[in-house]
Amino acid sequence: MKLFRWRAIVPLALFAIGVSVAWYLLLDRTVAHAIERLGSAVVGAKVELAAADVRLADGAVVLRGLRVTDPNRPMTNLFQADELVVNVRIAPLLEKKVLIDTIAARGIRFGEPRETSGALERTTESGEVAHQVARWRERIALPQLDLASLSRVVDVSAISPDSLATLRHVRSVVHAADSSRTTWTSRVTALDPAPTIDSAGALVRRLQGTSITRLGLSGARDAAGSARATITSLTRLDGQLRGVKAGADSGVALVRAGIDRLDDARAADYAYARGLLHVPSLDAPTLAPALFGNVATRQLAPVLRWVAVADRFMPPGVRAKLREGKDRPRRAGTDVLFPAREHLPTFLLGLAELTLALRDGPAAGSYTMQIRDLTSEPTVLGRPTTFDLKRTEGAAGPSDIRINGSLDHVGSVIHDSVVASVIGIALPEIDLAAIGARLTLANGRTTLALARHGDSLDVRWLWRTADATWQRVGGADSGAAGRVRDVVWRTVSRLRDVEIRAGLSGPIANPRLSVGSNVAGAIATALRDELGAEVRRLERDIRTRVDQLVAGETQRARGTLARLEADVRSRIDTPRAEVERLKSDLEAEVRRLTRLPIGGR
Amino acid sequence: MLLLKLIQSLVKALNSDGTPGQVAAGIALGAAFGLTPLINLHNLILFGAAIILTVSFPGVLLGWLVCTPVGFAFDPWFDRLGTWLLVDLDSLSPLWTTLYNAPGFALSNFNNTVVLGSFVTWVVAAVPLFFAARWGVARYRATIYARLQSSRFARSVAASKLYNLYTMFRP
Repeated sequence: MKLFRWRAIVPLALFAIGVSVAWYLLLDRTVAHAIERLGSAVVGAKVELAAADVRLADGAVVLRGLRVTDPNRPMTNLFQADELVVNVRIAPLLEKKVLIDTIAARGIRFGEPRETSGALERTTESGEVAHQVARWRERIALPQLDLASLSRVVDVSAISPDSLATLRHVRSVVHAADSSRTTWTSRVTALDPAPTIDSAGALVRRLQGTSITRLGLSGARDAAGSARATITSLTRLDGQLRGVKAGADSGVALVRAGIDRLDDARAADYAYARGLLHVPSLDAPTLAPALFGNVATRQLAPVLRWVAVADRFMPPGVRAKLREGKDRPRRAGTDVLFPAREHLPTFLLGLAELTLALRDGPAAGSYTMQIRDLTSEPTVLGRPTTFDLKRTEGAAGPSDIRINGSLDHVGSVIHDSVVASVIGIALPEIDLAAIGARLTLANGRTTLALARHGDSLDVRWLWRTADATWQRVGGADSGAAGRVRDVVWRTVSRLRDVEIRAGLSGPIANPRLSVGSNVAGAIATALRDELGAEVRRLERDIRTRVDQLVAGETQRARGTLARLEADVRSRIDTPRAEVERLKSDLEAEVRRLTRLPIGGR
Repeated sequence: MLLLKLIQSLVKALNSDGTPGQVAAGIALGAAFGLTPLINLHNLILFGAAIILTVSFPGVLLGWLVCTPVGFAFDPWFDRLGTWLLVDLDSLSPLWTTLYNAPGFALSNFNNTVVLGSFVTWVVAAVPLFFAARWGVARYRATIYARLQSSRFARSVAASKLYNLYTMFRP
């Protein structure tokens, strides 16, 4: 029987030619689809490409009509390009690796509106990042500012005892004390030191009333042996009591630490009650987040998101990476990437030097942008990613724009630094409904500085203008409320120099937000001058109410600690002191019984 | 019409075209197309092999047809097997790393959990499947075929035009 069907060679050759032709014809479409799929996964919003033209002979891919949706604004494009000419190396494509030597771009525009939403229907890795950032925003509790409350009677009875952190804290302290007491008292009960102590006490008394001469040598030796045995059992008992004491002491320390935190809990309750009754704090550090907190989180959330995206798609190290498989009728599965130090990275953009010319719009002018060593495996490449954008010629808008940075994910500890500065940009309007005003920042300067070391993040963002204008919004209030608003309006409407600062610091997973502004400082000063007495009265009422509600329970917690300490003293310290005394007495008796009487020979 | 031709070719494969071993080899090869995701490099190579080797081509189609629903049904299991091989089994990691960075090999999508899991399953199942199919075809021809041969349906299938084209691929 023949193994090969030689007459099928021609159909096989025709099949191979057919497959090659189909592959070639579908190559452009396949590449376009891959760019859309991978781009969407990285950006977290739709990336669309009108056409891709793969020129294998030239080692080039021409991308036309690229539109990248802004993940934070699905009806706006982050940027779009009429044409990108990408020079790729051909050989690495056989390893499914994309190494781009250069990119040239034409017709790049930013912030163009979209006709349809660019939001993705399903969650990608970047989508998960977006959800994390959204959850972070939800967790931030920004203080509320309600000026009207400064002029009205506040009903402090609305403060419910159940909502106070101090009472919850007291309950946990009392529970910890009860739990600790139960543990060590059961151990003391199991030890039952009283019989040993009583027996040792009786022996001491008996020996103290006996002389060596009456006992004789043999009797003295027996008595000394009995005393030594009792000393041994007392030493064992003391060791056991010491172990119980260590556990009891740690329980007492825990309860004491809880008591020490009661003041913090009460301070939190004051703040909570102030918020509940809409009584604003007149401290500038509290007023600033109340006024500009929403603006700050809106500005900083995208920064947090891009940091997390860089984290996911440019991870340090050469560990295997998991990516969702491509869509198909069968289950997509998971693609596992196996980078290796001595090989090429899966994706590398060696150098992109883009010259952008924006003909119209608020930032019209010429720009140069350079991106170097952008890769999916920085450790394999061994060099950090750097980027630099600057304005070379301005036709309108900002007088200077400069963005540069370095993403160093080469080592095990990530070091990122980004500095962005835009001078002469039209800053946005900010609605400050809480004070009945709208702030127009006009032309000014915005700067952003980001520094990341490992998991720790430090971001500073600043808006500064010398041309701020104010517009009063909302109807005029009458009476005392109107007076408060008038005070605030007179204060802010004189401010031309406005500075708003926001920052993120701490762990990337949950950074702390800080907000500051000279506007908040000015309002705080004015309100304190004008309404200081009223605010102090309101705060005093609130503190009194909170103190009344928590006083009894706080006292109970302190009493619990005192009882716990007294119990430790009476049930552990006192027996231990008795044991020590008896051991000392018995040792003295042993010395007396074993000493030869002078001249007794 | 297409269905009729397909049935005709399958029936002929079972009945008389090639030895039971050739039909069984075709079924074992065709199982790869059904068990593993179709558009992959290994299936292209196996398809070329099915054309050039003297295996029963209708047997290939039969294996493909029967195993396609099996492949869909077992995808979650293939995914788990592939994950175990690619991710959990540390001892194989150097092998995967070498293959992943070898020119050409990465194009096979072996690093996809479903592709690898289903391919390994097919490799393991191919030999038992071959022997089982060979036994089954031999038994079929010895028992059922004789009765089918004289039926009206079988005679109409034999008269189909597809027969002429099919002879080209007869083993």
